[in-house]
Order: sequence, then structure tokens, then C-alpha cells
Amino acid sequence: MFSFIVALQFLTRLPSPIRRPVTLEDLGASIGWFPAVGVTIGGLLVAVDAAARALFHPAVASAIDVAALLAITGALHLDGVIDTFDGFAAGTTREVRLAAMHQSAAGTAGAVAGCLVILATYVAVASLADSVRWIALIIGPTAGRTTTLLSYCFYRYARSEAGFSRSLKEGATPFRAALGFATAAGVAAGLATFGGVLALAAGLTCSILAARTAMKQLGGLTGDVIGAACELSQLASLITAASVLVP
Amino acid sequence: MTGFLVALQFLTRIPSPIRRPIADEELGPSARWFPLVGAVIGGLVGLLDTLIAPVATPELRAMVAVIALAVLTGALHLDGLMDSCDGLFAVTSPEHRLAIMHDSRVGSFAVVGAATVLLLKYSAFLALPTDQRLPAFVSLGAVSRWAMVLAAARYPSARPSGLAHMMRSSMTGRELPIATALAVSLSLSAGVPGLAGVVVAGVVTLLAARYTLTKIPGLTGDVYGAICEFVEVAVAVVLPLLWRLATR
Repeated sequence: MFSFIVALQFLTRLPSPIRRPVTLEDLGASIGWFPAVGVTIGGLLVAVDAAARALFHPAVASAIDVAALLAITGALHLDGVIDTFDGFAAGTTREVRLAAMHQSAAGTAGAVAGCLVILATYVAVASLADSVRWIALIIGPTAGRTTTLLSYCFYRYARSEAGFSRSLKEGATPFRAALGFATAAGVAAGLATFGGVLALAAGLTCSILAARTAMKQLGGLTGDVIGAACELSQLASLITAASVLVP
Repeated sequence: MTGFLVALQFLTRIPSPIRRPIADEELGPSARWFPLVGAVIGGLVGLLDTLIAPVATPELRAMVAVIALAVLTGALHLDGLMDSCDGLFAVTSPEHRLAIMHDSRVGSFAVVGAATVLLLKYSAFLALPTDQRLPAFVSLGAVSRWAMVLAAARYPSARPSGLAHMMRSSMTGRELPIATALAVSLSLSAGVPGLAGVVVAGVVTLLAARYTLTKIPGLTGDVYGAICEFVEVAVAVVLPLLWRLATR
């Protein structure tokens, strides 16, 4: 339970009940719970969506869903998208790209990517059929956080200095990855059997593509890249759900 | 009359007949006219919206209104929103937050904040009922500019120099009552629900200002701009709901 709350605290801006300081080891050990945090975020999103749709126009409700997703996560992963695309657009060597990703100012590529991801997420959410929206809204965030877990487990980490990402990399043991993946697959299959699994699979496939690109460009993954992979796989999952989950 | 033109020149890109730079001490007194300037901006957007109605889809009309608001104001308030997001959401000291807000470069929070507000605004404008769009634009224009006067009059400024300080130091105390009277009467263009829009604007301003004060010692011109954007969105989102409740 402690590990779940550590994961929740790291991945969201939700008020946390933990009073004692969380160490980097605690954070690493919590990574198996990331998919469960995705399910939690999805559950909150379903509640927001239901309230917004009861009160407002469907388009407004979808925009509120997107805003809620960003507010809950503190735009953590979207920040990764912006930094990653800035990095990929900068220079030709690995070092230049890594340095560009560390810059706090957003460049053109990052700003464009950030806007497009927000717009695409909105369109995907707005395209979800009424009766299956809640399923997609749970599977999308779950796919994203499962991607984060699997990326840390399966790919080399590009930076050498200590920090959140190094601890997460060390914590991402095959056992924890299997546990987290089972959580996500169980939820997806339980909610919508074939369509749900397909939506999750689409998200994870997208993350493999993102990770391979990063391996080529940087020789490894960084926290920013993995945040970007999380955001993109969530998006891919929502788009897939909009297409395959029909009432 | 000069006060109104000063406010118009300050808040919009509409060609102004004053043709001279605004003096610092003119800014505060001009604040009483902010709601009227907002109504003018909203009225222009509403007219454009009506004009393109025969040829444009609802989505296009919503988009055009979003763009028209940004163009008419020179994206003045969006700029404030972006700088505020970067500064207030950064995990750092109050001094550094103010430095970030002063920095003209854009960070991730600015991009996310602006894109989200524009998206919410688009969807809210899309949802405005066909027969109530012009009054809605007038009303939300007026109350969002009133919200800035409220913020300036009620809360301290963060810096000893800068726009917020300049405005506050030349305000005489009569601005808020006059602006409030203007905002209330102009918001009535959207009927009784328009009045509720003033309350929504007040609540949004209060929450945004309170939140800001937990991060930096006072408000800045950027924060006023962010408040203006938030109120525009909030009023556009709740007006259709209020109309539905009123006609029930």
C-alpha cells in the first residue's frame, strides 16, 4: 500500500497522505504500481466526465476531460513530450540532444508537439461513443503508465547522473514489470475483453516505436522520453478505443 | 472620455485616436472603463460571429471567435497566462518565480496552459446556443475585464515596479465601484444569467488571486491577464447551463 501511494504521489498532483520523506529507493520500488495509478487516474477521469456531461455540452465535457487529465498529472508527461521533441530537433549528436532536453525553455518543435498532443487527445476523447467512454477513459491512462513501467524495464537509460529516473530504472525489475503488466492487462480485459486489450496493445506498440526512435537518437531513454512515450501511448490507446469500442 | 480611450488603447489593438503613449498615472483611473472596453471587444467578436453564420459551420464559428479575441487584444492576456503558468507552477522560490514570469521565453507549463485554455474556450464557444451568442460575447468580454479591476483593487502587487504596481498606485478608489456598476449593467445583456456570470467571475478571481498569493507575495500584470482568460472561459462554459436553469 505504501508503494502504491508513493507511485500516486510521483505521478499525480493529488494530495498525498504520506507524512514521512520518500527516498529514491522507495520511488524505485513503487514502479510496479504505476499501471494501478493509471487505473486510478482513469477512475477519477470517469467521474469528471460524468459530471461534466451532466452539466455541459459534450464538446465542453471533452475539453474539461483533457484539462482534468493535465491538472491531475501536473502536465508531467506532456512536459516530457515538449522536452523530447525539442531534443530530437536539436543538433546531430547525442550530447547536443541530451543537453537540449534539459533546457527549461520550450523550443518550436516542443511547443508544436505539445499543442498537437493536446488537440489530438481532445479529438480522441470527443470521438468516444457515449456508452463506452468510461472504459476508454480508464484504459487510456492505464496504457500510458504501463508504458512507463515497461520502458524503464526493457530499455537502457541514457543519462549517468543519479535522480528519479535512475532509481526508477533500478526499481524496474522483471518481476515488478510482470506484476504491473498483469494489472493493466487484467483491467483492460475485464472492462472490455477484445476492444480493451486492443486499446492497451495499441498504446504499448506506440511506446515501442517511441522507444526505438529514442534509442537511435540518444542511445538510451531519459525520463523525458519515457514521459513522452507515456503521453503518446495514452493517446494511441484513446484513438484506438474511439475506433474499436463501439456500443 | 479620455479614460475610455486610454483603456481601449491599453487593452486592444483597435486603432486609437489618442495617438500618444499612455502616461503611467493615466492607467489606474482608466480601469473604471475596462468592462466597457471588454463589451466593445465582445461586441465586435459577436458581430463577426453573426456575419459569418450563414456560411460557417458551428466549429468554424467557434474557432473564428477564439482567434478574433486573441487578435483584437494582441494576445495580451494569453501572454500573461503563459508567463503566469511558467512562474506559478515552477517548483522554486518566490523570487525566482517572479524572474521566470519576467523572462520572455516560454516553458512547458506556458505551452500546456495556453493550449488548454484555448481548447476550453473553443469548446465553450462551440456550445453557445445560436440565439444567444452575441449577448454571451458582450457579457463575457465585460466581466472578464472587470475581473482584472477587481484583482487590481483588492490584492497587493508583487513588485515595487511593473504594471500591477503602476496601476494600483494611480487608482483613486472610485474605479472598482464604477467598473462593477458597468460590468453588472453590461452583463445584463445576457439576461439574469449574465448577472450570475459576474458572480462566477468574482469567484474565479478570488480563487486565482488566493492561489497566486500562496506562490508569490502579490499579483502582477501577468496574473491579471491570466485571470481575464480564466474568467472568459469560465463564463462561456457556465452561461449555457445558467440559461437552461433560467428557462426551466
